[in-house]
Amino acid sequence: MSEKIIILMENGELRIENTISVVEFAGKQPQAGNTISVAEFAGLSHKFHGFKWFLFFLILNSQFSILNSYAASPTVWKDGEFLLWSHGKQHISATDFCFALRYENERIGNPNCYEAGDWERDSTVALYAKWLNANLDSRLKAEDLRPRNSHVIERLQSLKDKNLLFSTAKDDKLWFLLFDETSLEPRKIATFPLSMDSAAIAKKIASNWFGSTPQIRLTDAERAKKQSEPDAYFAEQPMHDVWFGIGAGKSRAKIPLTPNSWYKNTLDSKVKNYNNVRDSTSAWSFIEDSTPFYSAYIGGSLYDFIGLELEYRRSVHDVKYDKSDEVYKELSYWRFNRHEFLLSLIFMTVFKPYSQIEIEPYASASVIFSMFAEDIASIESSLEYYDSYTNRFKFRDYYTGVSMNLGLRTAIFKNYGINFKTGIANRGTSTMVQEVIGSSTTDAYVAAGLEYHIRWR
Amino acid sequence: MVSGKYLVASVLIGIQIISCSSSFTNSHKLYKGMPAKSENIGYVELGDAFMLTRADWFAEKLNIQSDSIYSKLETLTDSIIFSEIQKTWTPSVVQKKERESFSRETLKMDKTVFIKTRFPQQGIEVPDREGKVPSYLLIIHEYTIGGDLEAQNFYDYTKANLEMAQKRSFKNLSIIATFTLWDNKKQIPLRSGIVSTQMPIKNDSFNIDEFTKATKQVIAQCLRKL
Repeated sequence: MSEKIIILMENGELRIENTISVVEFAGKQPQAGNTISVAEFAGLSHKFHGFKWFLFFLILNSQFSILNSYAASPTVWKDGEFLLWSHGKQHISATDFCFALRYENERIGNPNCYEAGDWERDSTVALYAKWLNANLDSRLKAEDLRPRNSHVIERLQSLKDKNLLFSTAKDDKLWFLLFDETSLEPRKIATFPLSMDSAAIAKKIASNWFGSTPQIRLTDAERAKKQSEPDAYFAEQPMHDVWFGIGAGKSRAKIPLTPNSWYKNTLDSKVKNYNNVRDSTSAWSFIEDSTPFYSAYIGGSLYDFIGLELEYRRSVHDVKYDKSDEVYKELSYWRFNRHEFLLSLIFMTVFKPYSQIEIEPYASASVIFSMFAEDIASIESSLEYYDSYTNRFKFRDYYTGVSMNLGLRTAIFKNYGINFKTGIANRGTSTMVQEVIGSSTTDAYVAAGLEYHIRWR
Repeated sequence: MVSGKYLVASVLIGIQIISCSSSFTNSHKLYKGMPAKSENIGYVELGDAFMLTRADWFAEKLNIQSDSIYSKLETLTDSIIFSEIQKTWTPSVVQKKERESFSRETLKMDKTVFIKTRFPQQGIEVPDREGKVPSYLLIIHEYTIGGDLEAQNFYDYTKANLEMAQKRSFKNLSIIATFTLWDNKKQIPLRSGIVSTQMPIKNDSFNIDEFTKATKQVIAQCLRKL
């Protein structure tokens, strides 16, 4: 039901004020001025399939009818200027209008309202006003009311950020047309009963058209700059990106929101006699899992969509041995440096909420190449438990694995980025390998990074 | 079998409709059909809307000196059109100097068809020769006379810019006119259209009666389209 039907309530009768299409309406052809009784209306309203409530709403608002070709409201400017241009008698006063604007929209600041004297005195513009008065008709749309004279067109285009409110009386109605620089046709059209007073009209117009959040007005220089900015279409073209960054994070074996019992055995495990653990499947049975790590990475992406990243991570893990145990008295420290290389395939998307900020959520999958380098020192030169010491456990030369990651990158001023990511990683050995130390080592991590980006189209 | 006949007939009608597609019209939303007989219609003299191609050919055939052929045929055309309109309404003449204040615009008739128009300014009622204001104006924007001319080559931009050989002789006298019925009170174009006529020329001979006949044909078409 896209047709416009505006109904006014008068003495218990509904008057069809305006209709564009031919609708069977209580057996009457709907024409302006036709009347039907409320009872008739109630009887036929079911024909309108849910449109009924809309009509009901219209009846409630019968004092105010808006005919529009545009759904979008005009831009509301903070401390805006409003020109009141009338043909014939003035029906809205500048004081009332400014008061209503401030009353209806408290964020609007200090609007300036005045009569558009230079519009009224301009003889060519006055001809257009006369023409509007002759042609205003509820059957016409805004586009039918365009000015044709080049002088009038120039004047409308030079309104800048001012709003021009034209008013005239026609056919026992008051017509209000809103113009601004964005369009040659009236942006908004409304009619009111002739008897309505200035303050009431001002209130209706202010609340219906100027209720939205105001924007700061731009200076001429800023306007000129905005004009020269590239079209939004071009601004949204995807970009290519190369970045490098450094980061820090924390990894641990316990994955949040999963039961503790999964890890309990592994985490409580201690290395006995340099070698023995209850279950050697996970490296965490031998070494501490919860540790900070540091990383450096370099990556690149194409069309803000797909990318590759190579990352190096380093962390230090103490061996879990019981320091009170006699066996280890001779040890100064025993730990492993973990070195990992991650090659990630990244899929991303980019949002640009403000011109200098880009938000880029991404998901990636990494292939991991992981190595442990032992770092051990004894207090004494001769070791009492020498056999155990020499037969202490050894990790394999390297482990391979995968990591699934999610991240959010925020780029500021095009080149600088802050990156947050999280993921789950698993490393292991091939099942063909006999030795099982660390054949499946899982951990989760969170990390943050600082990056420098080079972006181009 | 009856349905087969209807099918053939409707296909033929369809072809005819397609073949007539070069004569377009455009109406205002509030246009209610041809103005009543009692209405006062102002006929705007052709002035610079009058365009005669092959002026030498016309001068030779009609035996008029070539330096005055333009003005003579223009005056003649104006008077023929006026008398044709007189058969429908009581028209008055709007002088061609009024055209100077009209603005040059473009009106879209169809996806690819546009006409150049001359419309009075918004808010200004155009007076006739006696100073009265007619309710409607009949404005002819362009009135082109020539040989073997096709309207679509003039107004359909997809078919414009065709190179045409200048033939020594031609088969048809062609007249193409674009017009608008103008609401002089509200200053809106009520109905606009393109009309054209082709009148066969036999044995390369031509006289003023045939010229008059062709002019009448164009105006009759124009009135039919209102």
